[in-house]
Amino acid sequence: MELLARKRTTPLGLRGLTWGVAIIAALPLIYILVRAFQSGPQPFADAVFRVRSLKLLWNTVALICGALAISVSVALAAAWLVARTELWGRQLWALLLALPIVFPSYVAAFALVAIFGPRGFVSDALSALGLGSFPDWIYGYPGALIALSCFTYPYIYLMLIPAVHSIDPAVEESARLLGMSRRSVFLSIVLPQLKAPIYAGGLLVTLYVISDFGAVSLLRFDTLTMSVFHAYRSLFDRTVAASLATLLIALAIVVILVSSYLQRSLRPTRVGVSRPLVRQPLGRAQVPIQLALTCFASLTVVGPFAVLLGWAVRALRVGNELGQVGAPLLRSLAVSLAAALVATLFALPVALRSTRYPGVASRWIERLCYAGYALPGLVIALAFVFFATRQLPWLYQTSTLLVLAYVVRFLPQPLAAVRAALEDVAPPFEESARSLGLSPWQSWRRVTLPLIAPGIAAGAGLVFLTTMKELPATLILRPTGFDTLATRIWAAADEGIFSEAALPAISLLAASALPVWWLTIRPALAERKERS
Amino acid sequence: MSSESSPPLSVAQLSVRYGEFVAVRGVDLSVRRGELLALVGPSGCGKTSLLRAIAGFERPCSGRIEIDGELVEDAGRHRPPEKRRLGMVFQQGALFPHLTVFENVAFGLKRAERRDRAEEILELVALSELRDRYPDQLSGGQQQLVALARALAPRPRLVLLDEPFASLDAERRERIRDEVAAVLRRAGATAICVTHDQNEALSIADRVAVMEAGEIRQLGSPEMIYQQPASLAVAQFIGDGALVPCQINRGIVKSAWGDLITELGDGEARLLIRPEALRIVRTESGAGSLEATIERGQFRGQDHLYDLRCPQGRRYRVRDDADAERFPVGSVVRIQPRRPALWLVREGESGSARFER
Repeated sequence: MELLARKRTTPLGLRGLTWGVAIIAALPLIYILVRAFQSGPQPFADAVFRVRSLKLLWNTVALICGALAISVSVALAAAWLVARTELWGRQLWALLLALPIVFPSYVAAFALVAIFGPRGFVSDALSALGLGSFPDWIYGYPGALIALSCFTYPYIYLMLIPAVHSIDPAVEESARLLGMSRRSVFLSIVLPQLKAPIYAGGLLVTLYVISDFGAVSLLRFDTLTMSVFHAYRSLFDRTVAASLATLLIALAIVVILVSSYLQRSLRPTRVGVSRPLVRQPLGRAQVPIQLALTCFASLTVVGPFAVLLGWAVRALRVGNELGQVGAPLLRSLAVSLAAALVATLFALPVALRSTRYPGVASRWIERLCYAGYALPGLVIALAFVFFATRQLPWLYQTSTLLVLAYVVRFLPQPLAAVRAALEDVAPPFEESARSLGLSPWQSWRRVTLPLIAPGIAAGAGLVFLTTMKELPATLILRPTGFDTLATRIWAAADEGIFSEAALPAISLLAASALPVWWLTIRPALAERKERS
Repeated sequence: MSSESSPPLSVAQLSVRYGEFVAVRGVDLSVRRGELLALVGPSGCGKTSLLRAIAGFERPCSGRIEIDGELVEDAGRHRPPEKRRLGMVFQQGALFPHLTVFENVAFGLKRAERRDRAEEILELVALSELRDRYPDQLSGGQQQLVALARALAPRPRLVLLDEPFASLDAERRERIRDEVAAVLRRAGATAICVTHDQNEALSIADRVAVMEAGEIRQLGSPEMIYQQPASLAVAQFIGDGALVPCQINRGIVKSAWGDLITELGDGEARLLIRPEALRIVRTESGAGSLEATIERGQFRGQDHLYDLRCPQGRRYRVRDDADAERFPVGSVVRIQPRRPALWLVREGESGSARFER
């Protein structure tokens, strides 16, 4: 009865707005598919079913599997150590283990090359000691694997921490009393309760790997995304790029189908803890664990920071001016702010419709708006190039088109944030305001808007942050000469000019440190407030 | 302003439907000035839909609603909720979480009277000292009182309460509901309270309307609803007690305690026997009494409550004085009606039945 009572007709204006947003969001997906099949299935099949394409697919899948295995294990171990054991310096480790999230994949890759590469820190040190040269192992699969697992696991780790905190210790204790060992309790009681964050975080990491261009290009590992980029850049016929992009989309869709199948099998776990968690003593394992964590943090946090700072200082010493970073920094900030603003404005009506006027139409609109979640940034950029050059040539090579691509790519972030915030504002809040004499618009402004403001800010902040770091779409859609921090870093690192990559990289980290802390690290690590 | 002659609320032939489902079916209801009317019924009976239609949050498919003589709902006419000058209290209170208690209470007030009126109303609910707290710093009961204060502040023509105590724990529930009823009376407000809890309805309301399947089955004082339910459905929903099948034959009903005379038409009916309608006979001369075995007994402070079973298998529940000696389970006693009359119910009608002589 309650559900039926909520059924109301959607206002006409809202219908128009939401369909408009959905069409823009789904445009790249539709266009790339049309484009790929335009000249009949034959050229498409030729492009896709070549030995080379299959090799690229294999490389991508191998990278996904490796990255998932490492990131899930590291995230589980890290979350457990921090949340459930008497680890020394827990709070410091909790933060240090989250920090690799600040490095975009291409900065991480650049740092890895600068440390382990042929002219890197380690090989310099070895040859200075007369120990010969260091093997060139960082290029190819190993380097790409490290860059895409040791710097992506925090996505899973940050989702695991609140989940680990909310496990009811009484469940574990009952299992112990029923005769299970600590190990089997972890495997058969604790792990199943952590499935939800592992699946959700694993999906993020997988999509990150599929769409990554920066790390694999700097570390010279051929994946689908990288080959799409090269096909687009080097071949006159863009059908090959479109066909490869279709394969990429297919892979992403398979991943999302698998993940939604897995997530559908989940049962809700009990939330809310009856009493404080019990921490396990580490005993003799304490020292070796501290050592292992220190090594790991040197690879993922201290090392990259140190090497970036070192190159930045060297760059300043040889006469590179800090001012050179100014213009790209301003451009990055400008497009990121614009993308954040527009994406939030797009998300508001869609979130409003799906929470207040749910129905078949609103569900489809929401799904279409999530297209950017599955589509690699490179694919979205290509679709916009194809579309703009044919239909809207005046838009091609403008920053407007670039911002539009960012918006389509990152729309899911503010959409999820605003939707969650709106769901928390139960209809009785608005109805109370109405019964106290406020018009619908007044009650929206005085009650709903203040309540969802934090959600809106968080969504906009995430778009800002991810746009600052975005590389492949920027490379393809930026107007000629429109350098951002990301393109600067990538171009310099690609040429192996470390000193020129270091300053923009440091600026990028500095500009995104605060939002990262505020939007992703702090909420996950915050002690949960219990409501009485 | 409010005209003294017309009732604060008058609903005529009101129906609400959701697609094929008819939630409220041609309801007529008139509320008296200053009374607290409880709208009670099992879940899904349409009581909340009726309340939301009165508030203006649901559009009825037919019928009319007048508030203080002003027509607010009719075919083609719909005053939006904010123009109806009603107060509403929701199940979870729905206090605005970003505002303090004071700001919540002052929310619906005009700037000029904001301070004075909010202070006044907070004093009325005796929560002045909590004025600067935020809703999450209040207990569930306090939240409901603040929600009531917020609803009362703009001097509404009618206060609507939608299951206001349902989310409170049993301990606080009784205290808060008495408090809310007292505040409503002190404020002189006219109110409708929707609840699925019959005890709540009987204890706080001046009048009770029992709803079932979208219709009001009976409207009357709590005593009347309890002692003289208008139909089998009302008797089943309200209170506790046995409904013994019987046959009316030329105005005579046969019972275990002898024949009763009734004016209800012939046919099948049920004798309603409340726990307090029976007593346990302690003297040996148990003329006209019935033998029964005690199956279960609970001492509840104010009385003993026994579940008994007769040799024929029928079960009764009997209330006995608190200071009377306690019968152990298994003892055989005799039971007898306290009064010379019982109440008969059947589908859609009811009537009294008294013992011959």
